[in-house]
Amino acid sequence: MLDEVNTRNRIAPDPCSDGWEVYGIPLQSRFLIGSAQYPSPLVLQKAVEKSGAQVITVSLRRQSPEQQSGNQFWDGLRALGIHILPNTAGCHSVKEAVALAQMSRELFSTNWIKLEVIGDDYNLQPDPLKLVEATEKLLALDFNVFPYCTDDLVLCRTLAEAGCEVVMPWGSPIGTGQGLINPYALETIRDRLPETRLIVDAGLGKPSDACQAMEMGYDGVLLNTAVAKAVDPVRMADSFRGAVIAGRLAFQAGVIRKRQNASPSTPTVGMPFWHRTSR
Amino acid sequence: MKITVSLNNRAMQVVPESTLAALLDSCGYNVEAAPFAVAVNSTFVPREQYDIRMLEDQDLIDIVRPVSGG
Repeated sequence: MLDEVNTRNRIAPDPCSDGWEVYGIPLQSRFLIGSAQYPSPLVLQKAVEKSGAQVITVSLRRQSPEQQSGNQFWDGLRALGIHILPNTAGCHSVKEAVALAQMSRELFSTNWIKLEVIGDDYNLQPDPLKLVEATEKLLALDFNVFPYCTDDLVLCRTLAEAGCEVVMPWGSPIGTGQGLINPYALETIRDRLPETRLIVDAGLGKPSDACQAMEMGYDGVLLNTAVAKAVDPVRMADSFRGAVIAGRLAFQAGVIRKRQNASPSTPTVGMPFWHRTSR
Repeated sequence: MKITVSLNNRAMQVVPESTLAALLDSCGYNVEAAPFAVAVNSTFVPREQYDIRMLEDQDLIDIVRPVSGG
């Protein structure tokens, strides 16, 4: 069914079913999930399993030797058996972000890094200038950078041209649940960067937000709060899983263009009650 | 005479010529028991350099472990 759709539509079939690749790693799921804010480690585990996600974001923080929570989290992560995407959340400088990325690589044995360089504490908006500088430094250190950025086309293009295979513009500020606040900007980025893996990261609140991003042709979505803080995170993870698939299928199927005038879907030929000679 | 370093924002007195490895050991950090990574003055220090990294007065040491993140 999927292959049949692919052959008829504008995007080339992926090498394996609807799978895709991120920095050489084949993935089936287009739903990347965060690991924070869940009510318990068990709920996290069940939500991740229900989401079908194959990539989970994590972070690093100070802990004393006596604190065992880091170890428990580490053990739980490994039990999930999915790809780990460490982040540099909270970093405000290039130096901090580069150092935390290197610490993450040593701990998690991955070149992947979700690069965050915060420029404003009110809306956690990334600093575009520092983000590009940090990206260039990390790429030179052979990192596979997933830059978290705003929905600015020129910034996204700069990051892609610097060597990022993946670029992650926000839907809206982290944790706000406002969804895609600038669909025009996101659609423009998609249209202008057809070769770049684009993931909408942050700000999604409802499964329909994820569906909307996927309908635009985004390659994936990354979210955390919308699942973790839901009344039932496990069920919400399932809902987002379905929404991501629905949006992807819709993109592949080719969404119709909007039009101003109405157009009857029922055939007009043979319509009764109409006569050349009317009374 | 001791030097002062900050370990995760906590001031500590250590003898001069101490290595990072010695400090980590004295504080109970054991990479075999629980993974961690280290930066000194916001610069990453690879694990294999713990034994040769000499501490200096006013060094700022950060030790981090895996936590949840979005």
